[in-house]
Amino acid sequence: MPARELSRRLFGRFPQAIGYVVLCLGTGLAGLGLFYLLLVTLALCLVGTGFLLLPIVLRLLRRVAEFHRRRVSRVLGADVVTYYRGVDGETRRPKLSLRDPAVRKDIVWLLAHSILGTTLCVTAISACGGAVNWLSAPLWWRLAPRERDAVIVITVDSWPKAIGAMFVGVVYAAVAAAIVVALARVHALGSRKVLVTRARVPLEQRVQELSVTRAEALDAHDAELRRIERDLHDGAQAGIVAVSLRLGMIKRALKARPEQVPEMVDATQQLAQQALESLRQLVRGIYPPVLIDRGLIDAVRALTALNEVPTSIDIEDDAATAPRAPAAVEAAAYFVVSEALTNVAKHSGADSALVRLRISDRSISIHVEDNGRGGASEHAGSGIMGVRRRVAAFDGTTELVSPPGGPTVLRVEIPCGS
Amino acid sequence: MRILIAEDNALLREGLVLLLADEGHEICATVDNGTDLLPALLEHRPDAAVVDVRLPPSFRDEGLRAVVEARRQIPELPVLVLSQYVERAYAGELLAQSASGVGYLLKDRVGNTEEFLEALDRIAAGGTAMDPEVISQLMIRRAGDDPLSTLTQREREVLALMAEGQSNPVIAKSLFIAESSVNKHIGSIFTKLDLPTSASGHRRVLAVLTYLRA
Repeated sequence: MPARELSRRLFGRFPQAIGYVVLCLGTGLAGLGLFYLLLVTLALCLVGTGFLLLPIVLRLLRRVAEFHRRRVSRVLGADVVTYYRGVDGETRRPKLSLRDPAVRKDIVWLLAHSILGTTLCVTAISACGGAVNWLSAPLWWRLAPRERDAVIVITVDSWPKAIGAMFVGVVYAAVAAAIVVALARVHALGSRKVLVTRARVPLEQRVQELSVTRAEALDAHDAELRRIERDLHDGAQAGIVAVSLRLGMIKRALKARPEQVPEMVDATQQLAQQALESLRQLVRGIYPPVLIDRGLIDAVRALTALNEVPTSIDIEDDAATAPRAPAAVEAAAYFVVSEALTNVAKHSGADSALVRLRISDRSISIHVEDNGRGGASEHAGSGIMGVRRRVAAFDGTTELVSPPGGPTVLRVEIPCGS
Repeated sequence: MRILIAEDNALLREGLVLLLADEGHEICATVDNGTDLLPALLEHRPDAAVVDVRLPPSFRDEGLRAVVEARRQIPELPVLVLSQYVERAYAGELLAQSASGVGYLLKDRVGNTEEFLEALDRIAAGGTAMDPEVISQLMIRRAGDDPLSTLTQREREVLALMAEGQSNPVIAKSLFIAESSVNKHIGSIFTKLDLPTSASGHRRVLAVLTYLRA
C-alpha cells in the first residue's frame, strides 16, 4: 500500500511540478535580463538619470515577484504573501523603494532564482529529456539509424535491445518524475524563504487597518442584530400572532360551530410548531448549541451533513489537547462555513463540495471548495462580503478564487488570538 | 364589507382572511408587499383596509406610508394599521391628517378576535381604534406635565379609554360606572384640559392625542 500511495503522490503532483519547473525556467532566464536591467539602472543612478528609471524597474520586479509568489502559493498549497512598506491607503499603489526590506529581498530572490533556480530547472528538465530519449530508442533506431549513437550510450540495433532500452526508459522516467517533483518543491520552499518578508508594518498603517476592521466589525454586528430582529419579526413573532388569531377563532367557533373545532385545533397546533421551528432556527443562527457543547469540529460536521449538496469533510485537528479557541472565533469560523455552504447550495450548481478544516492552537483555517459553475463575486449579494468583514474583525484573511466555469474555492484563516 | 389585507407573513395573512371571511366579510384583495399596496388601495377602494406597517421590499414603514398617501387621495378611507411594535411616531403620523376611520393596533390584539373585529367595525364606521399600549405610552410620557397632573385617577382612566376610541357606553362598562358619570368625567376633563366639548368620538380622540403630542 505505501508503494501505491507513493506513486499516487508522485504522479499526482508531477503535472503541476513540471509546469512549475518549465515556468521557472522561463522566468529565471527573463530574470537574468531583469537583473541586468536593474544593475544598469543602479549604475545610471550615479549620473542621475537612473532615478527616473528606477521606479519602473522596481515595479516590474514587484510584478515578477508577485507572480512568482502566486505560483509558489499554488505549489505549496499555502498563502505566500509579503508586506511591502508604504502602501498608499487610497490607491493601494505601492511606493516602492530600495529602503523597503521586501524590495531588497525581492532583488536577492531575483539573483538566486536566475542563477540557482535556472540550474535546478535545467537539471529537472534534462532528467525528463533523458527519459524521453531512452523511451524513444526504438523510434530512433527505425527512423534515423545513423543518429542512433548520438543520444544513448548503448547502440540499439535489434529489437531486444530496443525493448530493453524502453524498459530502462520507464525506470528513468519514474526517477525523473521524482526528481522534478522534489526539485519543484525545493525551489518553491526556497523561494518562499526569500520572497516572504514578515510584517513589520508601520504602526500608522497598522492603526489604520485596525480602525477599518473595527468599523467593519461594528457594521457586521449591526447587520447581524438587524437580521435577528427581522427573523424574529417575520418568523416566530408572526407565527405566534397567527396562533393567537386561530385560538380566537376557535373560541368563537366553540359557540357557533363546535363540530369544526377539532380540525381548527389541529391547524393551530401545526402553526405553533412552525413558529417553534423558526425560533429554533433563529437560535441556531445566533450561536448554535452544538457549537457550545461539542466544539467547532462537530458543529461543522453537522453543517455539512445538513447541506443539500453532498459535502465531504476533511478535518485535521492539531490541537486535540489544546484549549478551545475563543467562543467568538469559533462562532466566526462556524459562520464562514455555514455561509459558504449556503452559497454552494444556492448559487454554485455544484453536485459535490469539500470542507477542509485545520485547527491549531494558533489559527483556524477553513477551505471550502465546490465543483460548480464558479464566477462567484463578492458584490453579488453572495454574503462573501459579510464573511470577509467578519473574518477581518479577527485580523484573519479571506481569499475567494472563483473563475467562470469553476471551481470555486473559499479560503479563510482566522488567528485564535492565543 | 369589502376588506383589503396587506400583510407579508403568509401565516398571518391566511389567518386574517379566514377570520374575516368567516365573519361574513368579503376580502377584495390581499397584498404582500409595500409596492403594490397603494395601487391596490386606489383600485379596489375597500370599505376597510387592514395593513401591516412593515412590508417588503425594505421592511421599514412602507405599509404606513402607503396608507398615509392613500388617505390623502381618498380622504376618510378606513384603515386599521397593525404593527408588531408600539411606535408613537407611527401613530402620530397616521393621525396627522385626520383621526376618523383610523386604527393603530398591536398585532398581538388580533388574537383577541372580538376586540379586533370590533375595532375594525369601529374604524369602518369612521371611528378610531388606538391600541391601549400606545395610549399608555403617551400617558406615561405626559404624566409629569402640569395639565394632566390636575386630573384625578378616574379621569385619567376615562381619558385613556377615550383616546383608544371607545364610546361612552363602552367606557362606562369597562370601568363599571354609570354612563352619566362618564359624561361628567369627560366634561371635567375637557374643562381641565381647556378643550371644547364635541359629540363625535373621533374628534375627542384627535383632541386628546393632539394635546398629548403637543
